[in-house]
Amino acid sequence: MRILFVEDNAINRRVVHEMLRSGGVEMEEAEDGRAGLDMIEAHDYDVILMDLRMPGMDGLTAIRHIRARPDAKAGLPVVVITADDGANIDAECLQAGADRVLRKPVVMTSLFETIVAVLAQAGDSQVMLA
Amino acid sequence: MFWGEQRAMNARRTAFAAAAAVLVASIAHAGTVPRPAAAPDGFEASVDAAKSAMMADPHAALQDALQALDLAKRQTGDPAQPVHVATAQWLQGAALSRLNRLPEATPVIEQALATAAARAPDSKLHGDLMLAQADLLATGGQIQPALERFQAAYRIFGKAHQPRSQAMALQYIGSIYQDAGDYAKVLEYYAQSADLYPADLALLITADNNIAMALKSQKKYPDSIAAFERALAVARKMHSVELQTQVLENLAAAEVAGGRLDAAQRHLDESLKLSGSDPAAREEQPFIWGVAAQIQLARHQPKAAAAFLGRTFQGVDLAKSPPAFRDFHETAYQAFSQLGDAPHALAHLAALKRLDDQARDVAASTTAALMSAQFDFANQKTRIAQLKAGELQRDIALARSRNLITTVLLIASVVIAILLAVSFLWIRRSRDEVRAANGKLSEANDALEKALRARTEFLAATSHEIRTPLNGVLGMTQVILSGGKLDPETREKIGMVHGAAETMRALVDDILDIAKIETDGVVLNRGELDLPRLCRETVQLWTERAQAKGLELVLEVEDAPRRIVEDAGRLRQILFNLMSNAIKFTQAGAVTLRVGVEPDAAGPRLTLAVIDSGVGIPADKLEEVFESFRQADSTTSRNYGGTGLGLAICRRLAQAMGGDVRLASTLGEGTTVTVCVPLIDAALPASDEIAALPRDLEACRMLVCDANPLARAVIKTALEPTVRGVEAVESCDSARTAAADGRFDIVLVDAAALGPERQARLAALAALAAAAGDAAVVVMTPEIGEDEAGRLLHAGAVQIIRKPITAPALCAELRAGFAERAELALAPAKGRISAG
Repeated sequence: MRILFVEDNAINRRVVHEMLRSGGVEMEEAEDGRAGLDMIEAHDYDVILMDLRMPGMDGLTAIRHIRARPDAKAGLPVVVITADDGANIDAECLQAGADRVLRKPVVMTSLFETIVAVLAQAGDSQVMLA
Repeated sequence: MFWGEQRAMNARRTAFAAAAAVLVASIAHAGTVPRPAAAPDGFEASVDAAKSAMMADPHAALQDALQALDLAKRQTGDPAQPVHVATAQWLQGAALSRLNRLPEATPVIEQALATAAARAPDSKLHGDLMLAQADLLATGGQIQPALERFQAAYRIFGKAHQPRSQAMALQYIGSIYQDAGDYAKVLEYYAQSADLYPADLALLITADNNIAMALKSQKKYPDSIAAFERALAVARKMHSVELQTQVLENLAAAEVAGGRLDAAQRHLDESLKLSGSDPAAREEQPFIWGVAAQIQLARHQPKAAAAFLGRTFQGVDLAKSPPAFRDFHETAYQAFSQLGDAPHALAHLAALKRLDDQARDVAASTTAALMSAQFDFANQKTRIAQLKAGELQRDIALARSRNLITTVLLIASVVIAILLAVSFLWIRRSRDEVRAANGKLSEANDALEKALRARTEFLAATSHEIRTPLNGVLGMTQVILSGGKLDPETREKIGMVHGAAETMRALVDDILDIAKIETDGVVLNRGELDLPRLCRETVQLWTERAQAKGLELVLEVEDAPRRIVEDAGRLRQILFNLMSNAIKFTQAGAVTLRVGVEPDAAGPRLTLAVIDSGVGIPADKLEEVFESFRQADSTTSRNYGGTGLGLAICRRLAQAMGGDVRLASTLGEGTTVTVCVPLIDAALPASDEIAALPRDLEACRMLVCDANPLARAVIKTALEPTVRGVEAVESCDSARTAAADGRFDIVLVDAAALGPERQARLAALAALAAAAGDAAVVVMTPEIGEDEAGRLLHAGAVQIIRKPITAPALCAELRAGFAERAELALAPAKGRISAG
């Protein structure tokens, strides 16, 4: 399974990286929306994790770019990970095309369950239990 | 939507046409709502019959609703049954409400709402029931919870994509402000509702009619007349004789007030003519005669006016006339005064005074409730107290002047006429003063609302900045603690870092939560929950802290109902806060959580009491501790820490649930905080609760134990739609504790979680199997030999599943294993080894 985490804060990138590693999953990272889009262009991922507030291109704009792609990558599962707690954040993210929204501080169990859920939603429920 | 008519008619004539219009439209609309295809015809037919009879014959509608309920209750085994029951109860409640049997309607709607919230959240039915409950509360004078539920209904309809119902909810909110005399807000809400759903004639006519009424109350006659004319055009388009009659009569009354007598006469004549051709419209005739009298009076024909008024008040007891007659009492007072008929003039003046007092009470209490719904500030309370004191003085003054009138009546009729005129002006002035005071309160209200919003936004921004570094701390501690390579001492230290960071996160959440509640109110997310388990889990969170302080922690749940309907997250939050306070303020002794049920006039109430032997609260500070950002003594926060938000949040939440928080305390001996909320038993699907042994895999409750978080998530996600419940834990120790109370039917454990070494693994499996009792223990393992498999079975496994395996294949294996065990009459000794 390949996962990309787009997030400007290095500590937060490391946190999610370590969490995923404890489940045997490797993660690649990008520092802002623009860099994230370049990575998606160049590689194949199964799930994109996306922060919202980032210098350069923010998360919502990056999600809209992904959804506007002409190829199959437009349907990539996207999970937003944010520290925002506004009442409308969920609605804004879903409108932009995100599949799920997770709040910081990230709870490990929710992170894995959300990834599994968006994979299942995308028709990929064949994760092997090794 | 059958609600509101009764209330609007009792409270005010103004909204009557409106409510009736909504009613007519909703029934026409109800016929087009798509319904689940699987429902049997009998039930559907009864539902349709109830809907179509609701308007004209509520008695028949009630019979049909009860029949639908009976049919729905017999649909055992149908997954849609609870929703059908709730639908039938909705109709039953609507019919009871139409028959003015409100005490009977309330529990029916309450139960149906709980079902809808649990089984069909954010559906149209859920919204309809929320709206129904709100209207019952508003009718009962409980404006604050009513307003919160109207707003909740609005949000639910939004999620269910029901703009028409959303518009209707806005109109109800508007009607609350109409009671409060806040006409600016009335205009705002009705305009919003017309914007939201302009396609519906019935909603449009309601909006136009009530906007016109609000404008008329503000003495903006030309605007009011224009709005009534729009409403009239809509009524004509709808071909409703009843609505045309009402709007024409309202229009004529506005025209009289605006001095357009000829137009008023023309519209009134038309209204009268129409009223003769329709039985429902005929009930309007007394009011049509009343407007006719107003026209005659404006034309200086008091005699003719008095004649018409005779027909208006025929058979009406002047001491008990409803508010609909208010304006006509005023007309009658003027007409009889001009004719020198003092006894009649006085009788109508008394009626006028009585109705204005009633209206003022409604206005004052509604305004107060709206205030308290949003604010908790001392200056607000002072303003309301001042307003009430002012009213009291005016009441005394009015009572004196009335006594004076009675005495003087015996002396000279000339003096009476003068005094009547004076006292009439007096009454009008006092009414205008109250209106002006309401206006000022509403301005203050707006300003405070803005200030509160700004505060919430500031807090949200701050909390974002705090959460980001907290994410680093909590994330890393989670990762470190989940790894198995820690020595106990390091684990304990990291555990302390994690605990401290969790406390900090809880504080940030609390601060933001209270700010949100004060600004937007509480929206509950009710569902079925296991109460003893929720209490147990919450108390467990505090075991360590209590032990560290040497406190005894006691849980008494023997008298608690098992499954109830409530917002589990909010209930947990209340208990967590109360336990936190109790442990914080207790240095020695015990903290007890006692759950029970107490009877109440309105039905049984659930009580959750947290009893401590701590420092106690002085009697004069008991109320203060409920205020936000406050503890009994400002030095307390230095000694004990915390924001002092806990109790304020608890009270808000309990109130939103329809209950409250009681506090009893003796200084130096201890404090008992009791939360009591209405008890909603989740008794509906009783059949699968009593089943002792599961009949198939679908009825099984599963515990999954796997050290890999990804594997836990995959298994949980795959099993959740298949079985009745899944819990996942990461270590064998946790699995043993969880399985020990017998709430699981199958325990699925990964061999790696049992331990690294073979002998220890077998011992751990045996201990787990012993703790699990009757539950079937299933082991997942990589390829192993027959000997090893035999040892696992001997140690207590009943099934072995080989890895690697996909989630769907795992489900299939579990199902096959279950079927085989069932066939072997649940003989646990006969294990099964899968082909892998």
